[in-house]
Amino acid sequence: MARQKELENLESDYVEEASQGDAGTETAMSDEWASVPQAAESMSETDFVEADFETDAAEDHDAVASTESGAAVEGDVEEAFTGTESADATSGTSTDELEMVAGPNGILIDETRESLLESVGDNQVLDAWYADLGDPAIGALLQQPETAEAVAEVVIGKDDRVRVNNTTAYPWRAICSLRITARDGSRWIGSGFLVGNRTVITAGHVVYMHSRGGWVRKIEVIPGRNGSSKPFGSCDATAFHSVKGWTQKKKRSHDYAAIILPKNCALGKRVGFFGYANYSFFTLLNMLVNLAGYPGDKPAGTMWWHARRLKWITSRTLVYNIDTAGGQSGAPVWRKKGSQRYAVGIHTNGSSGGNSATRITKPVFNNIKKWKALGA
Amino acid sequence: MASISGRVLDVDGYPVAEATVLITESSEPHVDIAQVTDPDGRFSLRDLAPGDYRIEAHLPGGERAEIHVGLTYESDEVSHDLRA
Repeated sequence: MARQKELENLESDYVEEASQGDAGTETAMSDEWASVPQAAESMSETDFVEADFETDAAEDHDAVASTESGAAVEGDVEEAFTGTESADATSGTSTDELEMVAGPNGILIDETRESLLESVGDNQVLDAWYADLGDPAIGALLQQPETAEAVAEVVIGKDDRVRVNNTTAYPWRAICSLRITARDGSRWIGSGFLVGNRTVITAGHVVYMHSRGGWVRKIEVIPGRNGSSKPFGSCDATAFHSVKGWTQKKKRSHDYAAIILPKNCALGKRVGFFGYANYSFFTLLNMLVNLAGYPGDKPAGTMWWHARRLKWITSRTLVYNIDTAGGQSGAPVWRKKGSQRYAVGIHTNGSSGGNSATRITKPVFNNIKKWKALGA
Repeated sequence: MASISGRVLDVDGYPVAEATVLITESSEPHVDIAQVTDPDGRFSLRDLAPGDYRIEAHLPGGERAEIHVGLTYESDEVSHDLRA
């Protein structure tokens, strides 16, 4: 009970700290969260208008009203939309939390492994969460013998990913394969997910590559891709948005971005889009989350899914043992709650010590909301 | 930061375009993005922290190649081909 009280106090401290950072528009921290548009030299006149609007709006971190009951406890929530596409509006589900892909979902959640990690204890979880964080703190945590042993047991194992064949069903069709052409001409693959009619959320390093000339030249966005099939077509995008914490400081905790599709390419209207949520530490703790994207170690353009419980929650990242591979950067990490889907993180990093996502915190939530408005 | 570059080659030693190259195991966290080889089969993974890496190439025909590379210093620029 005393431990619970301590946890509650720590959570309150965290909330206050975040609020101060949000309000202080003159501080370096708030600057890092300010959204920045694509480089001016490669932008159209329309993009300049968007950039001005975005810079002003980035300073607004007021709380966002939720449409979900109980939001005062859980945080800010933006609802999903299943799209106007009629066929397979929703996929079948076996539980309120897991997506149904193939076979009994229970097989995919190995409770034996889960219990092993639970033995690590909440002291270590809090150490990681409370240290302000990102990968160095997680790295330090993983160096502790007990933790390292548990993680190795989980990560070194068989590939549990399951191929998504019915990519025209929601929510799969709101997940996008990305074909990226960097500023230096090199080509890459990544993932993203729609959160609005023309707004695709992805990792910051997908749209801004520091060692490749900065903003990428072009991204082909393909929702619901299934191998060589593009069931909803594709769009070439050249308007990108991220935050200064990524483009100027390359902070792992600020690795997130948006792709704004051209005005004649409102893919989200047809295929639908994800909701997203800024949940508290306690809501996220032990949450069962789904992750699907387009890994490069599988047949080209195929979508793969996996789900597990979150293992660590830091102030700005989520860590999990969901199997991923290069190409899944930008994939949604989402909570299924009944028939609703809420992204809680943006997958960014792989590591033998646990894969991780940028957590949708309050500033991230607010920027996604602004970017969604840009692509309305 | 260190880098690993090279070419993806088929079983006969010819360069392979459109192969995906990615890190599948490492002692250091890495961004989960994959590169597509150019017409000469070339790839270059940059911004890597010193550590041990397993790099895989997945060829359009389904073949696979892998190498293990150790990067000692931040200035390391290792060149290594991946042959199916």
